[in-house]
Amino acid sequence: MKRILILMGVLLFLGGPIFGQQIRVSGTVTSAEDGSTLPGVTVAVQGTTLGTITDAEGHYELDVARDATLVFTFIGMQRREVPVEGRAVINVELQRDLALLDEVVVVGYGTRLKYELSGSISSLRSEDIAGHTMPSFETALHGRTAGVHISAGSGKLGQAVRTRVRGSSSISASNQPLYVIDGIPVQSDNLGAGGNEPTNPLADLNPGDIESIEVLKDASAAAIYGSRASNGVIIITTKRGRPGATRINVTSQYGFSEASNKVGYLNREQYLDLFRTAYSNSAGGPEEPFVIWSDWTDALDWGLAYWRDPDNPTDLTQGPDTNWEDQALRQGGSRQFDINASGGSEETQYYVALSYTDQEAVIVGNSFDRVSGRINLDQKVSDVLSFGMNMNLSRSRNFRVANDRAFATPLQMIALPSVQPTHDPHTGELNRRTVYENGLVVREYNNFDTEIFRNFGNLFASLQITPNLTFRSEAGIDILRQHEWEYQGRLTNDGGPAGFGFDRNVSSRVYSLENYFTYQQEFAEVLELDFLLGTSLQYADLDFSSATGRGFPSDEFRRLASAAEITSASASATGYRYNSFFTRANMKLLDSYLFTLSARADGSSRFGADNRYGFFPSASAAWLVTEEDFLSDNYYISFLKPRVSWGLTGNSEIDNFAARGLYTGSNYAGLWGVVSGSLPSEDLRWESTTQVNAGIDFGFFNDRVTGEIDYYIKKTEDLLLNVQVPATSGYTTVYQNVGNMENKGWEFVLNTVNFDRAFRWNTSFNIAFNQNKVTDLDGQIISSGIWRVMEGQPIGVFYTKEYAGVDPANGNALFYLNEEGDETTTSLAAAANRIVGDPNPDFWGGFTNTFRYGGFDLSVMFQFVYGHDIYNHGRQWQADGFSWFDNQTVDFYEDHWRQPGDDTYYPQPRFFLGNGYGVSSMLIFDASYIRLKDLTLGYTLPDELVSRANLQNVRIFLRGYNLLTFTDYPGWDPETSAPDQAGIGTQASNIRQGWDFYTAPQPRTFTFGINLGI
Amino acid sequence: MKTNKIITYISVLLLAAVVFSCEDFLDINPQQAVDAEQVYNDHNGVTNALNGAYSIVAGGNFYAGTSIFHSDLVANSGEMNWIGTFIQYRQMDWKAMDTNDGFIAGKWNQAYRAIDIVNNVLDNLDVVQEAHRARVEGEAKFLRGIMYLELVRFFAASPYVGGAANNQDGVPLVLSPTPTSGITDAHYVSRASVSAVYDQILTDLGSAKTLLTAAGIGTGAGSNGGRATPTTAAAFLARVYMDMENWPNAAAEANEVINNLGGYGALNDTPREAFNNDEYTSEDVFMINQNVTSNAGQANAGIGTFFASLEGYGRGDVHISTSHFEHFEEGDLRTTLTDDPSIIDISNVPGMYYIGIGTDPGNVMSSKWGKFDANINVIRLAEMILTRAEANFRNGTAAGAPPIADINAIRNRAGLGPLTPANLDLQEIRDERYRELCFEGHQLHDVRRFRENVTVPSGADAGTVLPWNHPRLVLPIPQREIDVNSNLTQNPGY
Repeated sequence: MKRILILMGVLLFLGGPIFGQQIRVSGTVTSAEDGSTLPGVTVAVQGTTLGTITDAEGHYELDVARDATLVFTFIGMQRREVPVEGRAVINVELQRDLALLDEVVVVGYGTRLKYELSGSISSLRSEDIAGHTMPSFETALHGRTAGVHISAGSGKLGQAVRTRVRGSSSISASNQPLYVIDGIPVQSDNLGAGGNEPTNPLADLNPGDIESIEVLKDASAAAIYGSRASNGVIIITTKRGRPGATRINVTSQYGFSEASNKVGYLNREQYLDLFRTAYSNSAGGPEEPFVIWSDWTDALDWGLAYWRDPDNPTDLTQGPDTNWEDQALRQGGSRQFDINASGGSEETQYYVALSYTDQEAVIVGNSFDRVSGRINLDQKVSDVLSFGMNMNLSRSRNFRVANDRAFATPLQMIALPSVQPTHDPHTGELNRRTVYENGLVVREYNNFDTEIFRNFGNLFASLQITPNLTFRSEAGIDILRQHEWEYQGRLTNDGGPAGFGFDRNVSSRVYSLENYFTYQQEFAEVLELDFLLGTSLQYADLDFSSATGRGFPSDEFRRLASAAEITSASASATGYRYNSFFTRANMKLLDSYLFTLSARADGSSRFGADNRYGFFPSASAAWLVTEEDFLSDNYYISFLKPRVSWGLTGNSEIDNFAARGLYTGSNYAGLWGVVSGSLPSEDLRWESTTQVNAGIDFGFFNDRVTGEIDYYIKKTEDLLLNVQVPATSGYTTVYQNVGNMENKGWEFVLNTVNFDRAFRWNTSFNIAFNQNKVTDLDGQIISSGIWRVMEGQPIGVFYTKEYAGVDPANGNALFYLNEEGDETTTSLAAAANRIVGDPNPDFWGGFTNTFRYGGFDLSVMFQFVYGHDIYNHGRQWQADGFSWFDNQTVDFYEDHWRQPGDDTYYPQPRFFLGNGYGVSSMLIFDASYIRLKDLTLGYTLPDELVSRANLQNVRIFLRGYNLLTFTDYPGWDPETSAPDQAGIGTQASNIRQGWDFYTAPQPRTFTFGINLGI
Repeated sequence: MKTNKIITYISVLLLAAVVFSCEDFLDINPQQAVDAEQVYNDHNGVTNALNGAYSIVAGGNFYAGTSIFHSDLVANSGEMNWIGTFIQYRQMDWKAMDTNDGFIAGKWNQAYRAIDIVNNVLDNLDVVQEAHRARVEGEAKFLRGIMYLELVRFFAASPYVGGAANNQDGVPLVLSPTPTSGITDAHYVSRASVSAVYDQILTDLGSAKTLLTAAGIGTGAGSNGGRATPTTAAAFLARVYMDMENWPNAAAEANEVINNLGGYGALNDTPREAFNNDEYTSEDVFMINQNVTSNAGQANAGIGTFFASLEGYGRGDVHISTSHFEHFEEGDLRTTLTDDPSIIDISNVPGMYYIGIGTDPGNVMSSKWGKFDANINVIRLAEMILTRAEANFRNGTAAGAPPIADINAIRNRAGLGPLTPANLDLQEIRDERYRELCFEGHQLHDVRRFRENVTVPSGADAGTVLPWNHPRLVLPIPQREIDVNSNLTQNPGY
């Protein structure tokens, strides 16, 4: 560490000040289209880190060398390079850029022009995220960024979101990308209480504050984040002020939502009909188990309270008929208000924002609200020194419901027979004699409130040591304080007889310190060099405390202070450290050859003492073919850039003390002790991913058609694996570096400008193919439920009994007896386990069309995923032909075996005995889908009207999410992939993809909004 | 001038950076755990580990849960109706267990985890204070013995048969600790024969009894508070000898236990008093201690979770069927039923059965397991009396007491008149055993000893009759274990 600091010092003096002959240049930047002045244009001196920004009148002033070249860049405009040639006044017109090839993208520790990139990065701009009314921003990435696959776990608000950049690269370590907000890696792990769905700390960031999101996909782009880059890096940059008059922007939105899909369960008539059938199919045969019932109504009397009409109990056509699905899924709503102000002078720029959002989920009892404030400040002290601060303070509250697997979760209400009433006919109170717990009782008496205070931000200072050399220092904090408390009422199953209370506090503090030099130099107009060297320290401390209690005087007393008995209490702490050094060189040779070399050395507290440090290099090259004479200014081929990259990245997202062999405390009724926990793994080291990427960026017809094609091979070696060992040793797993995994894939992006006159029509299409394969596991088989990780297969294939359909002769459910699948059996137990499905998609992408005419704008975004299977675990009881009294799906009712010769998906229903009841591929379905994800129609009022009201702009808009879904998946939502309770980054979540267990669908949302610029 | 200013700024930043840098930045320690090497260095560490082994044995995978429940469910012929949603238990009721059953794997994994800990304890006795060494060794061997008994009873390819060679596959015998240096080829063990496992159990429990006696551990009920005593070792030895059909030794061990507790007089006044207690009662030989912060009763493997149907406790998954009550005579206190919707918890239930309330109300539930944090009865005096009666009867002896006296003692407590010796046969002893010990985890082992049949009560094979030694009454070796260790063979039929 110290040596590096000395090195930096030395470098500093080597870099010594070089000031050539200076002149002052000034001028105005205007738009070529309408001649209006352009504030906020970046004016940079090529080959240096010097530069300025145009003021509110589009004016700039800069001291430069006489022979310097000025580079003018502005979002949405084509970049222009203008040699100074001794002039004092340089006025510049910028052309509108059709394809945004000249946009600036944020890379780790700096920015770069998109057209000069040699790595693979996907970007989203604020306008893509604006108006996003989901709690967290990641869902906006799906369908808009090639190669990024997002599964919003369910319609539960604030739940962890599964994000995969170019597939899964690990089995036991996290597969979630690294999130970096304004240069600071932030806490993105689940910090919620066990026993409920994992939460998403990224929901604490107001999506409206985001200026851009960059996804670093290939090794060349990501390797600067070294040991945490294997799953891709998602860089979020928040909005900053620009010089000029204060602009105030107000957006107000109001919306409502409903379940994007309802499955449909039997009504009273259907229920009784199917039950009668199922009963008679079971009764009377040699296996007659029903000595205690005289007929089917007797069985119902035995099993179900209140299923008859209380006034006329013998008339079965009358009586309760409850649609429990409608009880669980309600109309939700959202309100959102954003106000921000930005502006500033040459010296001081600011962005100040306040945001409030309040959302009601379509699931009863679930809602989310957030208040967020932000100040981003930039201050220029002198030509040499500038500093600034980003500070975000937010409070989010999530009113949660029980986890999907609990009887108390709202969606498990659909298991209740439609013939049971919501309310007790005798008392008029909620019915507490339903066959499983009545979720309405839970909803009435329980609460699970989570409140999070989040403060992330950083302080930074930048020193312009010479025109070529800058030094930047950033000190970041990410403080998260979370309080969860739960009460279960005395009338609920879990809360009886006298209430159950739970209280938990979490404190997470992540501190980081980044110091780096940037050196830019142009050598003899042949080579432009951009060099980076820096260090990074990060440390995280986490504390947890919780307690539970029972025995409350009444449901009015909900806090633990009133509990008669504290049933558990716990406090614990953990943490991790990183110590890193990084460097990068970007080179541009002869204006057309681009090279990037980067390397990072990372040390982590998580690894064995002998393997603390890892080294992660990368290299890439690109050729700007269109800069060559033979193609320059070619109308047909306006841009062409082939590029290749190679690099090594790491993954260290494992348990904080995974390398240690540990004993933890135990309790035997008050007798203290210790028990074994883990075997040591002193040689544990980084999981490393080698990624090769070849791609081409192109623009045709003067960039009316642009696009990118990428092919990559990601090979992960030395997997950080929970290696299975014989349990007879006292342990079942040990962390070791064992095994290899591979992801290969293609990504295509095509953007076209179809019309560019008064009527504008742009199309953007992306599609990504990824093939995941576990290439070596040293013979290990890793099972988690019916999911398996096996050599030669994609991660987490479904491995269970294969359903062979229905025997048309007798309605028996058949299963394949052996691996070959040439013999069948009616015995589920006797059937062989086989690979019967794959939750990983074959390809996915998005298709967006935007139209603009006059003041109107319309954007239509479809997203699609193809080839992923979902294990609809809940169907084990929802379509089992009454192995118990659970209500059944309408599709079971319509598609079950009735008489010899029937060719149906579902077998003959047999009450209690079951027929094919259990886990098999009967529950696994192809969930390919196309979804009209986002449709926005806006109208911007004419300027003359707006200016009469002293406003800058007014836009009203209507927005719909998840309006249409095309799929054969019979469950609620084909996007479902509920994370494991243990957390989104755990082995269980990695392997258990595509799990639908009474998992709530996403909402279909309609929003109306107005945006005012003041 | 400008350069000087820059140097000033840089110096400030460098100074700040130095503050943050330190040599051992990456060396941090866990706060809720210690390195394994530190555990066995001293007396305190070794005794902590021994206590830790008890906490595993006390978990839902053993006596507070599936050791009891698996036995009764696998051998259930319809006395219990399993109506819960757990597929694993439903499959057990069907005698169609799955090799991936997580509860079965839990039993296997946790037994060997406890065994590894006690193997470590036994390997590090030299650091235990001399005054405690015999006790620690005795307790460790006791725990190892009873864990192997659980393993061999459930996982042996077929049950022990008295007088036979018993060369069939038992379970792997692991008697030395797994070193922190890691897993080697030697850890890929194969299954020892059933006879070898039983021999090891006898050695461990016998040695435990001797050592605990030598250590001066008391022999009365609850004298060591939920831990091993010479009496508990003898009680488990009685179970082992019954499995081995070694009647004289079974009778002798049972007799020793009965005498240590004070004979028939130690039986509680009523059958119901024996259950759901927070403290030891006079008839408890061995209990799993539980309290509000340490219990299996709230877990999915905890016994009360399935049996209870009360306000706020229990899933009500086990309904007691009418066929169960056919085993009883009229007037038997062990059939008393509380039908009172105003009950809240088990303390309001005087009967041995009650009509359930709560989650799944209206069914007949057993009162034996009705409180999540009550101590769990593992071995009661009543079992030892019945064991002595059976062993003596089969052996034609009267060690301690004649069988008729033992049976009448149990009948007397159940509110029934005495039998005459002429009325007593082996079947009567068997029936009395069922009436007294039902739902306490004896059924599978008793079915085997009495060579009874099990009738599959539900599922696709309902009605199928399986003999006592049928492979479907044996648990599968967990599939994960078979996958990991190629030296292991699976049980027949899986």
